[in-house]
Amino acid sequence: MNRFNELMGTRRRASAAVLTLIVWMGFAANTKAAPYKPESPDTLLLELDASQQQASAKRRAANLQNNKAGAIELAREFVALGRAHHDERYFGYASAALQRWQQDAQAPLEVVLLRADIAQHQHRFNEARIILDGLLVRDPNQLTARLMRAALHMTQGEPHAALQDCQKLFSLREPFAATICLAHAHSSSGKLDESYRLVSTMLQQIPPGRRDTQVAWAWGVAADMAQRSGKEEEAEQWLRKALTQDSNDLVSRLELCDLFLHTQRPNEALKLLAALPASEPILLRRALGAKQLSAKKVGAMEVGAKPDLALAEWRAAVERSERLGITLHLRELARGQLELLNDPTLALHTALKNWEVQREPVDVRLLVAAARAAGNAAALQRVREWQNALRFEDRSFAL
Amino acid sequence: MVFAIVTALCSITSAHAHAVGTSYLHIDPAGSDSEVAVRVELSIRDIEFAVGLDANGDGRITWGEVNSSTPALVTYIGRKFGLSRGGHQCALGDSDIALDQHTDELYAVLSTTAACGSNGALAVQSDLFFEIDDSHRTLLAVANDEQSGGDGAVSVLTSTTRHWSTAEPAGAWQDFARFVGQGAWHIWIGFDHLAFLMLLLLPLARATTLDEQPHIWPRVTSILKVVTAFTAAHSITLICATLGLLHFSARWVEALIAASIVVAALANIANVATRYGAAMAFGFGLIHGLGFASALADITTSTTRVIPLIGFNFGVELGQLAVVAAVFPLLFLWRGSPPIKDRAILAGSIAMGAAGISWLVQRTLLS
Repeated sequence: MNRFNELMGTRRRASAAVLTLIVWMGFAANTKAAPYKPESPDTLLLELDASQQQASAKRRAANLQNNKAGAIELAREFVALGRAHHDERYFGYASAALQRWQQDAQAPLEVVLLRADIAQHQHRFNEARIILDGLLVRDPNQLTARLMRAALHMTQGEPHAALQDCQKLFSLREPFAATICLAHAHSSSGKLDESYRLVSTMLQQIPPGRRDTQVAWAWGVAADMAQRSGKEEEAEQWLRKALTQDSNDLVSRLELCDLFLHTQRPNEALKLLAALPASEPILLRRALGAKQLSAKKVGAMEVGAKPDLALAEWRAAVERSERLGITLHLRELARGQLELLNDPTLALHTALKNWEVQREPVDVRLLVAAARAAGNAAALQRVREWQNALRFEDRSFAL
Repeated sequence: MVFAIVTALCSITSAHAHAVGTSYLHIDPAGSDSEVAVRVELSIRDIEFAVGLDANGDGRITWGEVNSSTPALVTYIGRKFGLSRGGHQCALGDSDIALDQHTDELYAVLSTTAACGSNGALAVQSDLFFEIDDSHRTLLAVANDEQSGGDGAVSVLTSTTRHWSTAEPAGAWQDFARFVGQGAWHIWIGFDHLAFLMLLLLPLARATTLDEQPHIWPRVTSILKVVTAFTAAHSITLICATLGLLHFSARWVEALIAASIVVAALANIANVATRYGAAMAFGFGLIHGLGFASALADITTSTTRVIPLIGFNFGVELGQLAVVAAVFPLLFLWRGSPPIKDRAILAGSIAMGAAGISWLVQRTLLS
């Protein structure tokens, strides 16, 4: 049986390579796809919604150069568009709108906040930290900056630093945010169970009508804690609630998708990805879902029933990003290298690079999985030491 | 306030979806002498935000609207894109507009022919979309071009790197320096040349008189005689051969060089090296010079020989000087009774002689 699988694996790998080449050529060779002219002048090429139209008009407004308030407003709109449409380009647009304050140490606080937001979105975490540090020195009572920095600390695996910022939120009269923030920090520094109990209780006591962004955030935090407590059904519930409130919440959507993949439910995972644009994180998960589906030998589904093609598309997207010199999602890349390319050494190398940038629970799990697969005891030891020093708990795997 | 909270709380590691904005430039100089084909591919969405396409403001961008905005687009490209050759700006001709698809985005494709001067390095400057998008990437592809000396090239332009040009031909000094390096390199990796020189220098470590403590000056003089003879000889033949005044068979030269090592080794063993050292250095130096000449011929073209020659020779001398300077102190500081020294010199000579024999065999019988 093993040898058969190996043979199939080799053939699969070979055909995957060929498909990748074909897809990549399709991407890369501008000359291959011939330019064309539509028959009718009424052929629709692109549709813009109201906010896009508005932003476009503002962008081209002749007086934008001199209109500082307008530029800030525009940047804010671009950031919102970027999140709504899952389009990276808009963050570049936002950053360009704030160009005049690029080197300005005394830029207006809203500008600094926006720049921090863009930086953290683009995974320039250290830069975001520096920006927020400066901002909080200028205005220690800036709520958004404080929350952002607390969240950044958690992303970078520094719950103790986050605690200080969370504490400050009480004096800013935000008890709900403060409590969730503290619970989140405590959950990664030795108090997973109590923190989860606290957050669940708080969330259950919220009136069902209340649906705001603080609550949405709290659902995400609860889902993470539930997963680390080994309570996958509860994690699913929290994520579904987050998606019900905001179907555009890409993070929760992908987290739920990962949960489905983890619990061997590829059909549901793929359904979640159906309407999303073809970017690397989505192509990665489509390929993973397709792979699981074919492994299960379930009957073909409309969406993603061709594992080799899905894999080729993901690889082509990764190569395209590399060619353009865009910083890749290291976490996603490592995962792809581990689970799709079956290259644990490379995956571990990428996972370690990712480790230098961010240390969320997912990153920890990924590093452990890569280190295990590569048989690298030193890396495992490193994670163990980090975990012990923080008293970081994650029961979804044993170290 | 709500927005502020959203900003703060949207999970930091939000997945990115669509990649950053990307444009494509394709430049093909392979047409007639002074014409360069240029193709500029810009995303419809980027054009909309930079130039505006939706003429009737209904939120639907149609082919008709894109077509009619060609003049505006051409003006925009004229302002933001520059192609030059040999330092002279190329004039862009009339543009034809069409559509193309990249990943899942529609692009406007503008094709034109640029009138460029016929000589010199191609250079591209692109500011396209950087004013509206900090993270924009422009993928530049330049097709094979004999004149600019490059193969097809692909380059990524960013807001911090907006310029690209084919490699400038190296300046005279860079050329010279390159050949100096080559000369030094050649002698360092030329074990046969070094072996020969060492064989000649080794016996000079012995006392030149019957005293135990020889005067320094006579020893220095002997060393200088040998090195100078070698240098003079190989320079003469290197220059003559490179300038075409001498012709030789590289194969024979290589074999003779190996033979020179054997002879020098034998001279050491027979203890006659010190007497004939300078003569051997000169005589065989002539042959070694021919060896250098064939190495130089490998890395130059027939038209450009003088500067490379001077540089290469200079490099050989420098390289040689470095080796001698390293070995020099040993010739003086080496303390040991004459018998030990003698044995060491003998052993070294035998070893290098053996190497010489094997090279000789390789280069005659086996090549």
